[in-house]
Amino acid sequence: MGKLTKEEELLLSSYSATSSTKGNLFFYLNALIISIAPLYLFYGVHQMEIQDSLVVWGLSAVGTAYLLSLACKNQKCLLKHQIVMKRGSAVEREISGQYAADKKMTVKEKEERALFRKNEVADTESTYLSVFYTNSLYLTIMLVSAFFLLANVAPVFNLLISTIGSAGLVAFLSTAKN
Amino acid sequence: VDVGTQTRDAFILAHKQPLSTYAVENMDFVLEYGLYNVGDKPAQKVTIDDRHSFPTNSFDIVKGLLFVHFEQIPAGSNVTHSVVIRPRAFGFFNYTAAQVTYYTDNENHHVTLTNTPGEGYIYRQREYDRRFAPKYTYFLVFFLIVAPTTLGSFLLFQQSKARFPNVIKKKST
Repeated sequence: MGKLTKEEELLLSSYSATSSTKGNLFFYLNALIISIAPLYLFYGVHQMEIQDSLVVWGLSAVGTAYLLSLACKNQKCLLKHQIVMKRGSAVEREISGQYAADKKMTVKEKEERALFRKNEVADTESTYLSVFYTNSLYLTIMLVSAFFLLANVAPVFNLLISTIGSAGLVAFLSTAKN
Repeated sequence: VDVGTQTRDAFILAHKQPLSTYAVENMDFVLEYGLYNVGDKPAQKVTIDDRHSFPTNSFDIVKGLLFVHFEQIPAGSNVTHSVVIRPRAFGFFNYTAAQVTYYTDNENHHVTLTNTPGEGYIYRQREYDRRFAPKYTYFLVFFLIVAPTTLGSFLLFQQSKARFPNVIKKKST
């Protein structure tokens, strides 16, 4: 029993805070879309010229995308542990129902499958919930700051402060420990 | 000659006035000219000439004419004429007077001018849109860009949540 089996390593990795590749791609895609959308809004409503604003737009998009993806990852770690606690009983019931007729399977094996399934479900749900939470918070703060607090500031500074500031605030809030 | 029996010749008062609140490049700008005959006899062959005020390389004439002719303006009456022009470029512009000519009853030729509106600013269209154009279409498109990932995530989360209802374990005594 000194060496870990492949199954045990797989089970341990599902407890890890690291996101899966698919989850990471989803975070990056979401951050890209959400960072580009305010640029269109500033182009239309604040009448920023494309030729004059390329550098500022690039700066805003890159900064926002980085901070939003960081916020999503942090938020996912927080939510995953909470969701494991909430979904644990239901997943155990599901696994028990699936393998009730199988007499050969040991109790230990059933428990391992239940644990793995729990982490899988929690991973998926926390990914979706963290994206929804981060997007909602960022968009609310960005729209309020861009069109109410900083409405009379020049569009260049308005853009930088409202987008990167909002993303920074969301990233900061996601670093909470619980 | 008895002064009381003398009647005055036709006398035209003229004015020129913009009706549009803002002059904006590539947008219609309305001008109104008014002619008032305050004399006691009709004025003949009245003309308004404002062609030199709006050179064609700076303005397009959308509707109306900058040179108009009225055969007669009776005593005590007035005539109103409007022109719609469109500035081609933004910047400061000096609106000069229009020239009015007419003949009195005894074939005397008279030349007079309208008032001069003076210098005005023709706004850039972008500045005008920024202040006055409706913005809801941009917000609608913004929402459509943002909705797939945000609401999609929420719906998928709710879907997954429904599959695993919260089970409260009953304590067994």
